[in-house]
Amino acid sequence: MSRLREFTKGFFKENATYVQVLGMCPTLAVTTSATNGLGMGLAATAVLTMSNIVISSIRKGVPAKIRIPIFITVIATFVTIVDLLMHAFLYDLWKALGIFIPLIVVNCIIMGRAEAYASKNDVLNSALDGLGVGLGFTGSLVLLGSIREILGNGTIFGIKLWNNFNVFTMILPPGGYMMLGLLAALFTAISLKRKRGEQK
Amino acid sequence: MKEYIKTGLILMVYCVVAGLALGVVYQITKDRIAMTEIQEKLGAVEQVLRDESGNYIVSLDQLRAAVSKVDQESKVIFESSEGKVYSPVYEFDSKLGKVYVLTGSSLGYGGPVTVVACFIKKPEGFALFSLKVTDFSQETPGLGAKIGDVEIQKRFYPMEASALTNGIRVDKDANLTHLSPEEAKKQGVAKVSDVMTGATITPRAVANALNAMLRYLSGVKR
Repeated sequence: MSRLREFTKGFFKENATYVQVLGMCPTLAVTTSATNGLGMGLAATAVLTMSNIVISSIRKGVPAKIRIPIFITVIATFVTIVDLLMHAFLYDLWKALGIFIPLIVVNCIIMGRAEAYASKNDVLNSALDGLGVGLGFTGSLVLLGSIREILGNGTIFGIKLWNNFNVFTMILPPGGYMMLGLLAALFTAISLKRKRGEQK
Repeated sequence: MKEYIKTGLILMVYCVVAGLALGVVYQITKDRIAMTEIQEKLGAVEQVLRDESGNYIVSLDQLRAAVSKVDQESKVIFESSEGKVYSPVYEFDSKLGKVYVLTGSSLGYGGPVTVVACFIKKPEGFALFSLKVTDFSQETPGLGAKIGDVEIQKRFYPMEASALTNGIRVDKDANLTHLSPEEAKKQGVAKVSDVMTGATITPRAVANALNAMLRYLSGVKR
C-alpha cells in the first residue's frame, strides 16, 4: 500500500506543476500543443526515473560535500542520452521541443526529487517516486497543452475539431499564464475540499 | 589537502563513468542521426524538384549522382542581413534550364525558419520554381506554424525571374494586400495576409531566406 502511495502521490497530492509550482519554464514554453506537452513530459519522466534509480543506488558512496555536482552529472548524462535517442528515433518531436530537452538538466523537479527523496530512500521507492512524479508532470503538461491547443487552434494532438472558433491568445504566452493560473486554482480548491473532508 | 584530492578523485570517477556511458550511446545513435538528417534533406530536395503534376524536372538518377558527389555536411556558405545559405548546393541540367536547389534560413518569430528552394537560371535572372519549408518548429502553432501548410507555401511559387529583380516580399510589406495570389506573384510578392492573419513574421522569414538564396545565386552562379 505504501509503495502504491509513493507512486501515486505525484499525480495529485504532490503534483509538481499545479501544487508545488515547479518546472514552470518548460511548462509554459512547450504547452502550445498537447503533443509537445506529452513529448516533454515523457522525456522528463524517463530522466527523472533513471536518475532517481542511479542516485538512490549510489547514495551511500556520495560524500555530502559533493553530492550536488554528482547529482547534476548523473542527471546531465541521462538528459544527453534522452536527447541523442530522440534525435535519432523521434526526429520531428526532437525538433519541436528544441532547447527544452537539454534544459531538463536544470529542471528543478528532477534536482528536487534527487535531493529530497532519491538520496535518502531505497532504489524501488525512488524509482516509483520518479515515475509517479514524472507521470504527474506529464499529465499536467498534456492537460495544459490540450486546453491551449483546443481553444487556440481548434485541434487536439493535431486532429481538427472545428474551423471557425479559435482564441489565438491561448496559444500565446498570456494564454499559457492564464490557463496555468486557472488550473492551479482548481487543483488548490479540490485539495482544500479533500482536506476539509478528511478533517470531518 | 588529502581530503580535497579524495573528493576530486571521487568526482572524477563519476565523470569518467558518465563519459563512457555517453560514448556508448553516441556510437549507437550517430549513424541513425546522420541518416535521419540526410533523409529529411533529400526528401525536401526531391519534393522541390517536382512540377505541379508530380513529375520530376530532373531524373532521379541525376539527383542520386549529385547527392553522392557532394559532401552532405551542412555549413554556412553565405550570410547576409536577410538570412543564411547552407551547403550543399545541388546543380542539375534540365530541359527547363540550369536548376539549383539550395537550403537557406532566416529568423522567424521563435527561431530560424529553414527553407529548401529550387531556382531555374533564365537569361534575365533566376526564377523560383518551388520550395518547401523544412523547419518551422519554433513558430507559434495556429499562427506562424501555419507556414507548414503546402497551400500556403504555394503562395510563394512559381515566380518568374523578371518578378524577382527586387527580391521577394510578403504582401503586407509591399502594401499590395489587395492583389490576388497569382497577380501578386507577378510582382515578386507572396500574398499571405489572408491566410496567415496576425503572423507576418514567419512568411517574412521565408521571403528573407529566399532573398538570401537569390543574392548567393546572383553573386556566385551568374
